[in-house]
Amino acid sequence: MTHPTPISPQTAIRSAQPNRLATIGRRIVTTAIAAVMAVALAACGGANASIATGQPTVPSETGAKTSTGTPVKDLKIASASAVSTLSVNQEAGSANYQLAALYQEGLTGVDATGKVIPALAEKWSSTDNKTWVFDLRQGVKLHDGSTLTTDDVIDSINTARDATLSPGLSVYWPDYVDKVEKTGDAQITITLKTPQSEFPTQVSNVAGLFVTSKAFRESAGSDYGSASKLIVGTGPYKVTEFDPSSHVSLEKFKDYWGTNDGPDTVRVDFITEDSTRLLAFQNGTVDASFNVPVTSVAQWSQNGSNVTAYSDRSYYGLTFDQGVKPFDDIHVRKAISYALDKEGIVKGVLKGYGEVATGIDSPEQLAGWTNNSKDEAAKKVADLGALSYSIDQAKSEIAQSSQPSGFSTTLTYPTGYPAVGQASLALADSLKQIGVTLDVKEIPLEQWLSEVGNGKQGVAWMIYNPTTPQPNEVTSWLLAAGGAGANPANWTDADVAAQTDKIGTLTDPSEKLQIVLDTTKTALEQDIYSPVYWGKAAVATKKGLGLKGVDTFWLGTNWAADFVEQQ
Amino acid sequence: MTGNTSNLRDEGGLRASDPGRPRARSRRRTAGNASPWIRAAQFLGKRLANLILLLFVLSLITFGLLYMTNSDPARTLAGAKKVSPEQLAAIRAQYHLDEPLWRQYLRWLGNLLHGDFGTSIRTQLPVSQMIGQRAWITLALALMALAIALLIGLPLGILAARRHGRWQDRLITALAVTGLSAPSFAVGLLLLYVLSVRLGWFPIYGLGDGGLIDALWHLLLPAITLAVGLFASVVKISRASLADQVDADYTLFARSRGVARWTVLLAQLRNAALPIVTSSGLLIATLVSGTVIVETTFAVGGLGTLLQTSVTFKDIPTVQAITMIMATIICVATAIVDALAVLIDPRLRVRQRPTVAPATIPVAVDANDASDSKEATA
Repeated sequence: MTHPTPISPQTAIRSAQPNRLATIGRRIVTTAIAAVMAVALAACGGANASIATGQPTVPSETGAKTSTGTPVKDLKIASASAVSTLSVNQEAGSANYQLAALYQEGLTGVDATGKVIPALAEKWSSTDNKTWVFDLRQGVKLHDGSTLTTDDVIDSINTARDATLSPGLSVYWPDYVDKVEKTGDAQITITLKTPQSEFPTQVSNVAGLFVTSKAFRESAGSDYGSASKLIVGTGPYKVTEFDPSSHVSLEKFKDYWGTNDGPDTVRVDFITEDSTRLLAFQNGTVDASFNVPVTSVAQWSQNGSNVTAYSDRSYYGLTFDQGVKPFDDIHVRKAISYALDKEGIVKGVLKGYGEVATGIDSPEQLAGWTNNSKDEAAKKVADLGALSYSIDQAKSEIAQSSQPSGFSTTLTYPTGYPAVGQASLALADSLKQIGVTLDVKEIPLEQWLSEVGNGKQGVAWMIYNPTTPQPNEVTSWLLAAGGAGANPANWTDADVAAQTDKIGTLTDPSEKLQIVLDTTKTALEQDIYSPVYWGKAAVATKKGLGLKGVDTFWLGTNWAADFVEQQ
Repeated sequence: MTGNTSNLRDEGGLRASDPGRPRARSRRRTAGNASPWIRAAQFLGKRLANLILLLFVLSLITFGLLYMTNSDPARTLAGAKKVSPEQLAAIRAQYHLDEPLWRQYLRWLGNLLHGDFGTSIRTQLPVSQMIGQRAWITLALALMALAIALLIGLPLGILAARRHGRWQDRLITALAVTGLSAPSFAVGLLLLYVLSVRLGWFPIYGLGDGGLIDALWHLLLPAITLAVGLFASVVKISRASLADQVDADYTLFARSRGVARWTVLLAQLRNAALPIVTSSGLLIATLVSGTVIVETTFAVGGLGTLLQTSVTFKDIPTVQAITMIMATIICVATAIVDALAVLIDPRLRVRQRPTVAPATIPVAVDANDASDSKEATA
């Protein structure tokens, strides 16, 4: 490839009189080269111009939100996450949940605010929170034309519980289900080993149940949810085409039991590269896009397009493991927490698309226990003792600690979370002032997941994106303070652990909320967890396309119907 | 990879530019009596044995490297959620991740020998099915890119060599250097912006819905992006090889005797073809690695993106299968290129059949190879 090119004495006698053909050829080549250069220059100029004219980033809570509008006929939307199967049983990422909300249902469902509502079960009841009776909706049609039976539902539940058949979904089914029985023509009874007052959320499509036809599941085998066999459900849309490398196409299911005033067809295109997705959106190839990076909202909201942000209830915070020195010392933990400029991170890194976390479960998540009032929940978590940024306090804490002259430690963050990386660097920068060296490292997401709570990291990020409306979904893990492996901090606090476990046996929402508040306060006082921010997600819509009913759980509902033409 | 293929080539003994003269002679003696069919069978047999050995070693290395990476597929499947150790253990047991490395490897090898690539940990689908859906995309992309790179690179390389040292040469060399150093994701985005968004000539992403022709049309811009880096190599190789011929004594002699320009050019091209063809084979390796970024930029889900996600997910069966397929493609391509070399270079045929008169190779004698031709006629 690197052949030497000696200077040739023969050059002088070569082609002293170029013929006509060569001249034309040369002209074509030079013209082509000039054109390429001109186009390249124009492109550079164009790109610069578009950046220069970008509006300042202003977080918009309203975006394209609207209360009126007519249904869209066909919706084409881009998503940053490709799914490799349509079956959430196998792959339970948030992109899978989001798609499945259109074609499969559970016994229960949620509305956009996260309130649990009837789906395939018309009603349910329990007297002791252990024996749950679900009365099934009658005459529900599946996408393969068959009528849903009680056996189909029982089979779907048992499949979801099976770690072999459902490696992704089975984690939502802890070992407390005793048996699932048919107790009537249209009734099933689920008996639990321990009382679980939040059990109805577990059999929803935002947690652990996606009902399908038993016959279809058995005949499809390992091809269930694949491009060749697709999937059968009862949802408002039926999958017509799936290519894991490119897209999912759906059409309105005519025999849907409920109402669906959404588009006739929906197509979700997988475009993982942010810049390509932006170009496809700007060009009008797609009508809308999920996963708008909050750092580049300005580019997404040009020419009448809108970016709509909504809370995704995600929790971002630091976890301290007391089993790793010097983090056994509360002064060390507090020094780091004081050095965290949360306001600065939300303003500077997230451009306002996030909220400073004052607790662990977000107000939107806890709203399930405050009559769906996010504001009331926000008030409750406003003062749980989370530390505010103060370098002076950080200095004083480190001086009192076992490491008064500072120390060195490592903080890793997963790929695909650049904002967390920037926040880590900001923390490293302020820790320099108190003599602590923080070595920030980006590692693959998969490695990061495997290292969560491995007992080797003194300080680590916790990134938790709750899918279910269970108000204490995050703290039910983080505050399960039963020691090694029970929570990511390997925290041991018998009282907190017992209180957290007790929540499942209670029925009064305010009592449950109070326990979460008390135990969270203990965790923050001991500085086991240092909350940083609650995240927001953003969706972009083209000019004239409005969004109806967007709220924190809208992607667990028939979200396609929320896209409307605005007059 | 390069080291490996060059070793194979030496053993095959079918290259004209083989520097080991004594070895070449001894091979000639043994091969001289055999019929062409037997020689071809020997060539293929050796190639096949080498390929199997290479694949075996490669599979061991990939398996070992993946095993050493610090991640747990069971944890990835479950996500950052409250998962009981029993649940994780059940998932690990299902995919035999709890077994020792050697047993996992033997299990995989046993399946492979029965023609089964296994089941993907990530999707639970047969690996052969996942690859089958995507292989044609990457193959079409790579072939189109190679074709574009050769169609544009060769004429430019020839022009540069013929205008050696003049402005055309400098401009083409500059373009080649730019192409070689421009990262393909940046080139891809630039081309997307200019040709798709601004000018609307090409689709932006994906494969479209209009069948094969539409899909190929969608693959054109990704192929051009991939070809930009490749074309630079083609220009540099063809320019360098042809420049050697332009500077050769026979060119000067032919010119001075008034031989037609095109006849001289054809002779030069024929002599320069060997390094060009051999290097084109090596370009396939570059192509295969380049597809990952281009496929991501243009949202074209081929083998490159599948390999990428499978590596990060530690989806051992899928990674192993794709690695094996890509290695096989590279080996087969190198073998084809070596065989082509025999067809292109008459000296090779002469070496294998010493009875052929040297008069049948009129233009293949260059200054550097004078001693070689004497040896062949001796």
